[in-house]
Amino acid sequence: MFSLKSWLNRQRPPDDDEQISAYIDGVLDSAARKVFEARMSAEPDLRRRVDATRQLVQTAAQLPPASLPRNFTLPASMGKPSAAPTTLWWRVGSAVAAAVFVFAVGLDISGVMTPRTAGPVAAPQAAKSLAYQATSAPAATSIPQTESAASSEMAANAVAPSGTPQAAEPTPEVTPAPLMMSAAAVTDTITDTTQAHGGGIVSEPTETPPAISAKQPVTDTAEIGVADSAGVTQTQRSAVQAEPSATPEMPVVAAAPPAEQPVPVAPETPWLRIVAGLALLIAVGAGITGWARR
Amino acid sequence: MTNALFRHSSFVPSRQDALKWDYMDEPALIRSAQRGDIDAFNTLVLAYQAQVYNVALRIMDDSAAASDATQEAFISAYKGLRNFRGGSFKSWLLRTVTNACYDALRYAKRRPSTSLDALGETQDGTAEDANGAGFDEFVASEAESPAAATERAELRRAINAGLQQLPPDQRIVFVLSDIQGMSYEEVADAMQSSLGTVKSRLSRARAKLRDYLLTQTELLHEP
Repeated sequence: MFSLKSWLNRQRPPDDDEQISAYIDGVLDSAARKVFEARMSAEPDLRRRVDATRQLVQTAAQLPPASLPRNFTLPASMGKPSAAPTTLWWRVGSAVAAAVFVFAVGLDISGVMTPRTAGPVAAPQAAKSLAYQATSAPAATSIPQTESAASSEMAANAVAPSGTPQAAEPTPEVTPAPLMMSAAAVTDTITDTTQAHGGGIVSEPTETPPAISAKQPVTDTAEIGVADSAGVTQTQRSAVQAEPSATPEMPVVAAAPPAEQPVPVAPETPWLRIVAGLALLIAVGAGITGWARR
Repeated sequence: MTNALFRHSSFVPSRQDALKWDYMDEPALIRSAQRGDIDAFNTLVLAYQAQVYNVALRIMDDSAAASDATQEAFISAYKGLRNFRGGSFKSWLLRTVTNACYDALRYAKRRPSTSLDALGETQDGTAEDANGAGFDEFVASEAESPAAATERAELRRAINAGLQQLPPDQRIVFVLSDIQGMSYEEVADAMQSSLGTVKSRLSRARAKLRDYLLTQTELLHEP
């Protein structure tokens, strides 16, 4: 059977019991106490609960203590209390290590210290960087500033519309080698030079350098790595790189558009993850130790 | 001269010890105990063991478990005495015993078993038989009539039974505040909780216990 009183009791705000408890303990301020007493006058059920709670508290305060079954004194063999407390230091160490871990992971996730890929604007500069690293000859260091434009133009001329390899027109003047092609040129030239000399690598420049065809448009880092793993030294690269500038009839190798080729320009940062891992280990270890010592 | 520290203890120290300890205050005892003076610590044990045991007994509702928790609390307190950095020693000690009770309750929850005390419980299941310690519920004051004494004893037994219906955190707050008479601040210190948490838990504990008593008995009535 539906009871309006029960329903109202269920709809009562949940903080009634806290107000009852505070009223009994006398910790309600004067304004709240007056409001509460006015409510008690209007609500008999509230008054009944207040009276019952007060009786409970009074009775609980008068519960007699139990008699002791025995004494709980400690024997003299207990020794001395534990050494100086180090729990605080463990907690501080754990907190610091956890903070370092979070900071390192945050840096790693945000990409601040992670390797970047060169965008469209940075691609020529990245290629220049690679070329500079690959060529240490004086000829390579005296590259004019307009070489980027020249290399783009030459690349456009070198790529045939049908996709077949096509040699570029030899220029009568001595022009610097296109930078974007220098990496591929290094690889192919080394390969061809090696074949021409019976598998050996010659450090001095050849008089007639082999033509570099466009059949292998190699410009990425992986293939440079292959070339490096073949045992090519920096001096050899320099020699190979210096040749095109001295031989105008050298064909030009087609290269992919520099804007589409991401080139790593910053080294990876495994140390950040190592720091994060160490910090995590320290935090976990310190936390477990502190908990065990508690 | 009897030391006020021994008013709760059934242990009667020798006259020489009583004279020695009578002039030592609690901070001095604590400092001595921190240096490894077991006698000084045992003086503190004698001073607080009744209160500590009663808190454990109200929480555990079993005399053997309460004894174990009390002993464990004093051992832990002595081992970690150098962690005590001032404040209320009683609150620090009660925090230790409530932690020991928490551990015991968790262990009992994982491994439920029937205690020997419970096996000795009589058919009507009185609190005195159940906890075996004897809360002296039937002790009536001289000014109280036998009927009133009986009614009061019934109410106390009902409160003891209702306490076991509460969650441990609410039970401990009720025991410390309403049975042991500690202030909100002392309870918060002993439980390492905020004042608001203590007030909230206490109000919920009182409400649940009141509703339990109202449904179980007609003992709570308008005065």
